[in-house]
Amino acid sequence: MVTEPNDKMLEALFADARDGTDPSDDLKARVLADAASVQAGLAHAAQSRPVSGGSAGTVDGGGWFAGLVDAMGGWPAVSGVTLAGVTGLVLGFYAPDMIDTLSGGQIWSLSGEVGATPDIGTLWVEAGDV
Amino acid sequence: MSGEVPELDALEDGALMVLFANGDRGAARVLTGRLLPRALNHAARVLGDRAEAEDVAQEAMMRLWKAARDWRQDGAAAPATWLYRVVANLCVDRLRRRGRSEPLDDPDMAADAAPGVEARMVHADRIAALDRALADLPERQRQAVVLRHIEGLSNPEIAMVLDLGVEAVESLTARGKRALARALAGQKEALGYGD
Repeated sequence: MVTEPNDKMLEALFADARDGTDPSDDLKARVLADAASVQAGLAHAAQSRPVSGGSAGTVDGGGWFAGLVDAMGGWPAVSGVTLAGVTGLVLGFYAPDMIDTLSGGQIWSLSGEVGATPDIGTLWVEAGDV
Repeated sequence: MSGEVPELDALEDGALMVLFANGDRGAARVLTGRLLPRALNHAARVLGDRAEAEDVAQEAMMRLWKAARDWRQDGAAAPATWLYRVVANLCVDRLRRRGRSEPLDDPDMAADAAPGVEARMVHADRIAALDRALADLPERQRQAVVLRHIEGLSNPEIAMVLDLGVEAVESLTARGKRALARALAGQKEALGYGD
Protein backbone atom coordinates (compact mmCIF):
# COMPACT_ATOMS: atom_id res chain seq x y z
CA MET A 1 0.00 0.00 0.00
CA VAL A 2 1.33 3.43 -0.88
CA THR A 3 1.77 5.73 2.05
CA GLU A 4 1.27 9.45 2.05
CA PRO A 5 4.97 10.25 2.65
CA ASN A 6 5.78 8.23 -0.46
CA ASP A 7 3.29 10.33 -2.41
CA LYS A 8 5.04 13.46 -1.18
CA MET A 9 8.40 12.07 -2.22
CA LEU A 10 7.00 11.22 -5.65
CA GLU A 11 5.60 14.72 -6.09
CA ALA A 12 9.01 16.13 -5.16
CA LEU A 13 10.71 13.82 -7.66
CA PHE A 14 8.25 14.81 -10.38
CA ALA A 15 8.93 18.46 -9.63
CA ASP A 16 12.68 17.81 -9.90
CA ALA A 17 12.16 16.07 -13.23
CA ARG A 18 9.99 18.92 -14.52
CA ASP A 19 12.81 21.45 -14.52
CA GLY A 20 15.65 19.05 -15.01
CA THR A 21 16.15 19.00 -18.76
CA ASP A 22 16.92 22.18 -20.64
CA PRO A 23 17.85 21.76 -24.29
CA SER A 24 21.50 22.47 -24.98
CA ASP A 25 22.44 25.37 -27.23
CA ASP A 26 23.70 22.85 -29.75
CA LEU A 27 20.33 21.08 -29.90
CA LYS A 28 18.49 24.39 -30.22
CA ALA A 29 20.80 25.38 -33.07
CA ARG A 30 20.18 22.08 -34.86
CA VAL A 31 16.42 22.42 -34.49
CA LEU A 32 16.47 26.01 -35.77
CA ALA A 33 18.66 24.96 -38.70
CA ASP A 34 16.07 22.27 -39.54
CA ALA A 35 13.35 24.90 -39.33
CA ALA A 36 15.24 27.22 -41.68
CA SER A 37 15.76 24.45 -44.23
CA VAL A 38 12.06 23.51 -44.16
CA GLN A 39 11.08 27.16 -44.55
CA ALA A 40 13.46 27.53 -47.50
CA GLY A 41 11.84 24.48 -49.10
CA LEU A 42 8.38 25.92 -48.55
CA ALA A 43 9.39 29.25 -50.09
CA HIS A 44 10.93 27.48 -53.08
CA ALA A 45 7.81 25.36 -53.58
CA ALA A 46 5.62 28.46 -53.37
CA GLN A 47 7.70 30.17 -56.09
CA SER A 48 7.83 27.24 -58.48
CA ARG A 49 4.25 26.09 -57.97
CA PRO A 50 2.06 29.03 -56.99
CA VAL A 51 -1.13 26.97 -56.57
CA SER A 52 -1.36 25.05 -53.31
CA GLY A 53 -3.85 22.74 -51.71
CA GLY A 54 -5.54 25.67 -50.02
CA SER A 55 -5.55 24.42 -46.43
CA ALA A 56 -5.17 26.84 -43.54
CA GLY A 57 -1.72 28.18 -43.03
CA THR A 58 -0.57 27.83 -46.61
CA VAL A 59 0.12 30.47 -49.21
CA ASP A 60 -2.42 30.42 -52.03
CA GLY A 61 -1.95 31.94 -55.46
CA GLY A 62 -2.55 31.50 -59.19
CA GLY A 63 -6.28 32.17 -59.55
CA TRP A 64 -8.98 30.37 -61.52
CA PHE A 65 -6.99 29.76 -64.70
CA ALA A 66 -4.17 27.99 -62.86
CA GLY A 67 -6.83 25.97 -61.05
CA LEU A 68 -8.41 25.03 -64.40
CA VAL A 69 -5.04 23.95 -65.77
CA ASP A 70 -4.46 21.81 -62.66
CA ALA A 71 -7.94 20.30 -62.98
CA MET A 72 -7.21 19.26 -66.58
CA GLY A 73 -4.05 17.48 -65.56
CA GLY A 74 -1.45 20.21 -65.85
CA TRP A 75 0.14 21.91 -68.84
CA PRO A 76 0.90 18.72 -70.85
CA ALA A 77 -2.79 17.87 -70.94
CA VAL A 78 -3.72 21.43 -71.83
CA SER A 79 -1.17 21.34 -74.71
CA GLY A 80 -2.76 18.18 -76.09
CA VAL A 81 -6.25 19.66 -75.99
CA THR A 82 -5.01 22.86 -77.61
CA LEU A 83 -3.21 20.96 -80.39
CA ALA A 84 -6.32 18.92 -81.18
CA GLY A 85 -8.44 22.08 -81.35
CA VAL A 86 -6.02 23.91 -83.64
CA THR A 87 -5.71 20.85 -85.92
CA GLY A 88 -9.47 20.71 -86.30
CA LEU A 89 -9.61 24.41 -87.06
CA VAL A 90 -6.90 24.17 -89.73
CA LEU A 91 -8.57 21.19 -91.42
CA GLY A 92 -11.87 23.05 -91.41
CA PHE A 93 -10.31 26.03 -93.15
CA TYR A 94 -7.96 24.42 -95.61
CA ALA A 95 -9.61 21.09 -96.45
CA PRO A 96 -13.34 21.24 -95.81
CA ASP A 97 -13.85 18.55 -98.45
CA MET A 98 -11.79 16.11 -96.42
CA ILE A 99 -14.13 16.67 -93.49
CA ASP A 100 -17.05 15.93 -95.78
CA THR A 101 -15.39 12.75 -97.03
CA LEU A 102 -14.39 11.56 -93.56
CA SER A 103 -17.82 12.22 -92.17
CA GLY A 104 -19.50 10.34 -95.05
CA GLY A 105 -21.33 13.48 -96.12
CA GLN A 106 -23.12 13.76 -92.80
CA ILE A 107 -21.97 17.29 -92.08
CA TRP A 108 -22.96 18.53 -95.52
CA SER A 109 -26.26 16.71 -95.40
CA LEU A 110 -27.02 18.10 -91.95
CA SER A 111 -26.54 21.60 -93.33
CA GLY A 112 -28.96 20.98 -96.18
CA GLU A 113 -26.36 20.38 -98.96
CA VAL A 114 -25.09 23.88 -98.47
CA GLY A 115 -22.08 22.96 -96.32
CA ALA A 116 -21.05 24.08 -92.92
CA THR A 117 -18.74 26.84 -94.20
CA PRO A 118 -19.76 27.54 -97.83
CA ASP A 119 -18.88 31.19 -97.80
CA ILE A 120 -15.35 30.60 -96.56
CA GLY A 121 -14.75 28.03 -99.36
CA THR A 122 -15.93 30.54 -101.89
CA LEU A 123 -13.59 33.19 -100.59
CA TRP A 124 -10.71 30.72 -100.81
CA VAL A 125 -11.40 30.05 -104.49
CA GLU A 126 -11.67 33.78 -105.21
CA ALA A 127 -8.40 34.47 -103.47
CA GLY A 128 -6.75 31.76 -105.53
CA ASP A 129 -8.04 33.30 -108.78
CA VAL A 130 -6.57 36.70 -108.01
CA MET B 1 11.27 32.98 -25.15
CA SER B 2 12.82 36.16 -23.86
CA GLY B 3 14.06 38.68 -26.40
CA GLU B 4 11.43 37.74 -28.95
CA VAL B 5 9.00 40.14 -30.55
CA PRO B 6 6.23 40.60 -27.93
CA GLU B 7 3.53 40.12 -30.57
CA LEU B 8 4.85 36.63 -31.34
CA ASP B 9 5.11 35.72 -27.68
CA ALA B 10 1.45 36.54 -27.25
CA LEU B 11 0.33 34.21 -30.04
CA GLU B 12 -0.86 30.66 -29.55
CA ASP B 13 1.14 27.79 -30.98
CA GLY B 14 -1.35 27.17 -33.80
CA ALA B 15 -1.08 30.74 -35.05
CA LEU B 16 2.71 30.50 -34.87
CA MET B 17 2.57 27.39 -37.05
CA VAL B 18 0.75 29.37 -39.72
CA LEU B 19 3.30 32.17 -39.48
CA PHE B 20 6.10 29.61 -39.69
CA ALA B 21 4.64 28.17 -42.89
CA ASN B 22 4.62 31.69 -44.30
CA GLY B 23 8.34 32.05 -43.66
CA ASP B 24 8.43 33.82 -40.28
CA ARG B 25 11.69 32.86 -38.59
CA GLY B 26 10.66 34.47 -35.33
CA ALA B 27 7.79 31.99 -35.16
CA ALA B 28 10.31 29.14 -35.44
CA ARG B 29 12.30 30.55 -32.53
CA VAL B 30 9.26 31.01 -30.30
CA LEU B 31 7.92 27.54 -31.09
CA THR B 32 11.35 26.03 -30.43
CA GLY B 33 11.55 27.83 -27.10
CA ARG B 34 8.13 26.59 -26.05
CA LEU B 35 8.01 23.06 -27.43
CA LEU B 36 11.57 21.73 -27.61
CA PRO B 37 12.06 21.52 -23.81
CA ARG B 38 8.79 19.62 -23.47
CA ALA B 39 9.66 17.19 -26.25
CA LEU B 40 13.14 16.67 -24.83
CA ASN B 41 11.91 16.18 -21.27
CA HIS B 42 9.28 13.68 -22.32
CA ALA B 43 11.77 11.69 -24.41
CA ALA B 44 14.44 11.86 -21.70
CA ARG B 45 12.13 10.47 -19.00
CA VAL B 46 10.73 7.74 -21.23
CA LEU B 47 14.03 6.69 -22.80
CA GLY B 48 16.34 7.43 -19.87
CA ASP B 49 19.10 8.43 -22.25
CA ARG B 50 20.08 12.01 -23.00
CA ALA B 51 21.62 11.45 -26.43
CA GLU B 52 18.68 9.39 -27.65
CA ALA B 53 16.25 11.89 -26.18
CA GLU B 54 17.94 14.71 -28.10
CA ASP B 55 17.72 12.73 -31.34
CA VAL B 56 14.03 12.05 -30.74
CA ALA B 57 13.29 15.67 -29.83
CA GLN B 58 15.06 16.93 -32.95
CA GLU B 59 13.26 14.43 -35.18
CA ALA B 60 9.90 15.30 -33.61
CA MET B 61 10.51 19.03 -34.14
CA MET B 62 11.50 18.33 -37.75
CA ARG B 63 8.18 16.57 -38.28
CA LEU B 64 6.41 19.53 -36.70
CA TRP B 65 8.10 21.93 -39.16
CA LYS B 66 7.16 19.72 -42.08
CA ALA B 67 3.56 19.56 -40.89
CA ALA B 68 3.31 23.36 -40.75
CA ARG B 69 2.44 23.74 -44.43
CA ASP B 70 -0.81 21.84 -44.03
CA TRP B 71 -1.49 22.86 -40.47
CA ARG B 72 -5.09 23.73 -39.72
CA GLN B 73 -5.42 26.31 -37.01
CA ASP B 74 -8.92 25.05 -36.28
CA GLY B 75 -7.77 21.42 -36.20
CA ALA B 76 -8.47 19.10 -33.29
CA ALA B 77 -4.97 18.81 -31.85
CA ALA B 78 -2.84 21.64 -30.50
CA PRO B 79 0.77 21.62 -31.73
CA ALA B 80 2.03 20.61 -28.29
CA THR B 81 -0.34 17.63 -28.11
CA TRP B 82 0.56 16.68 -31.67
CA LEU B 83 4.26 16.89 -30.80
CA TYR B 84 3.87 14.77 -27.66
CA ARG B 85 2.19 12.14 -29.80
CA VAL B 86 5.10 12.12 -32.24
CA VAL B 87 7.59 11.93 -29.38
CA ALA B 88 5.64 9.08 -27.77
CA ASN B 89 5.65 7.11 -31.03
CA LEU B 90 9.33 7.75 -31.69
CA CYS B 91 10.14 6.62 -28.16
CA VAL B 92 8.12 3.43 -28.63
CA ASP B 93 10.05 2.73 -31.84
CA ARG B 94 13.36 3.17 -30.04
CA LEU B 95 12.34 1.11 -27.04
CA ARG B 96 11.20 -1.74 -29.25
CA ARG B 97 14.37 -1.56 -31.29
CA ARG B 98 16.61 -1.94 -28.28
CA GLY B 99 14.33 -4.46 -26.53
CA ARG B 100 13.30 -4.04 -22.94
CA SER B 101 14.75 -0.73 -21.89
CA GLU B 102 17.38 -1.00 -19.23
CA PRO B 103 17.48 1.62 -16.50
CA LEU B 104 20.10 4.09 -17.57
CA ASP B 105 22.23 6.04 -15.23
CA ASP B 106 22.93 9.35 -16.85
CA PRO B 107 23.74 12.00 -14.26
CA ASP B 108 24.71 14.45 -17.00
CA MET B 109 21.09 14.63 -18.02
CA ALA B 110 20.21 16.56 -14.92
CA ALA B 111 23.55 18.15 -14.23
CA ASP B 112 23.34 20.90 -16.82
CA ALA B 113 20.73 22.99 -15.06
CA ALA B 114 21.55 22.43 -11.41
CA PRO B 115 23.42 25.25 -9.64
CA GLY B 116 26.12 23.97 -7.22
CA VAL B 117 28.09 20.75 -7.19
CA GLU B 118 26.33 19.23 -4.15
CA ALA B 119 22.89 20.27 -5.29
CA ARG B 120 23.72 18.95 -8.72
CA MET B 121 24.69 15.56 -7.34
CA VAL B 122 21.55 15.29 -5.22
CA HIS B 123 19.43 16.33 -8.17
CA ALA B 124 21.19 13.84 -10.45
CA ASP B 125 20.71 11.01 -7.92
CA ARG B 126 17.01 11.74 -7.68
CA ILE B 127 16.52 11.92 -11.43
CA ALA B 128 18.52 8.73 -11.93
CA ALA B 129 16.39 6.94 -9.32
CA LEU B 130 13.21 8.18 -10.94
CA ASP B 131 14.45 7.06 -14.36
CA ARG B 132 15.30 3.61 -13.04
CA ALA B 133 11.85 3.25 -11.52
CA LEU B 134 10.19 4.57 -14.68
CA ALA B 135 12.17 2.15 -16.83
CA ASP B 136 10.66 -0.77 -14.90
CA LEU B 137 7.11 0.29 -15.76
CA PRO B 138 5.37 -1.10 -18.83
CA GLU B 139 5.83 1.31 -21.74
CA ARG B 140 2.27 2.70 -21.77
CA GLN B 141 2.24 3.26 -18.02
CA ARG B 142 5.56 5.04 -18.27
CA GLN B 143 4.33 7.34 -21.04
CA ALA B 144 1.11 8.11 -19.17
CA VAL B 145 2.88 8.84 -15.88
CA VAL B 146 5.44 11.11 -17.54
CA LEU B 147 2.79 13.00 -19.49
CA ARG B 148 0.51 13.39 -16.45
CA HIS B 149 2.87 14.04 -13.58
CA ILE B 150 5.93 15.56 -15.21
CA GLU B 151 4.63 17.24 -18.36
CA GLY B 152 1.37 18.24 -16.68
CA LEU B 153 -1.04 17.18 -19.43
CA SER B 154 -4.68 16.57 -18.62
CA ASN B 155 -6.12 13.07 -18.94
CA PRO B 156 -8.08 13.94 -22.14
CA GLU B 157 -4.88 15.34 -23.67
CA ILE B 158 -2.98 12.17 -22.77
CA ALA B 159 -5.80 10.13 -24.27
CA MET B 160 -5.24 11.98 -27.56
CA VAL B 161 -1.47 11.52 -27.40
CA LEU B 162 -1.61 7.80 -26.63
CA ASP B 163 -4.73 7.12 -28.68
CA LEU B 164 -6.57 5.69 -25.67
CA GLY B 165 -9.80 6.34 -23.80
CA VAL B 166 -9.75 8.72 -20.84
CA GLU B 167 -10.65 5.92 -18.42
CA ALA B 168 -7.75 3.84 -19.66
CA VAL B 169 -5.44 6.80 -19.09
CA GLU B 170 -6.73 7.26 -15.53
CA SER B 171 -6.10 3.59 -14.84
CA LEU B 172 -2.60 3.71 -16.37
CA THR B 173 -1.50 6.78 -14.43
CA ALA B 174 -2.89 5.46 -11.13
CA ARG B 175 -1.24 2.06 -11.50
CA GLY B 176 1.97 3.64 -12.72
CA LYS B 177 2.15 6.03 -9.80
CA ARG B 178 1.52 3.24 -7.30
CA ALA B 179 4.26 1.14 -8.89
CA LEU B 180 6.69 4.07 -8.77
CA ALA B 181 5.91 4.70 -5.12
CA ARG B 182 6.56 1.04 -4.32
CA ALA B 183 9.81 1.01 -6.27
CA LEU B 184 11.13 4.14 -4.58
CA ALA B 185 9.83 3.46 -1.09
CA GLY B 186 13.15 2.15 0.24
CA GLN B 187 15.20 5.04 -1.13
CA LYS B 188 13.65 7.93 0.73
CA GLU B 189 16.63 8.52 3.00
CA ALA B 190 19.19 7.96 0.27
CA LEU B 191 17.49 10.51 -1.96
CA GLY B 192 17.37 13.14 0.75
CA TYR B 193 13.66 12.96 1.47
CA GLY B 194 14.10 11.68 5.02
CA ASP B 195 12.74 14.74 6.78
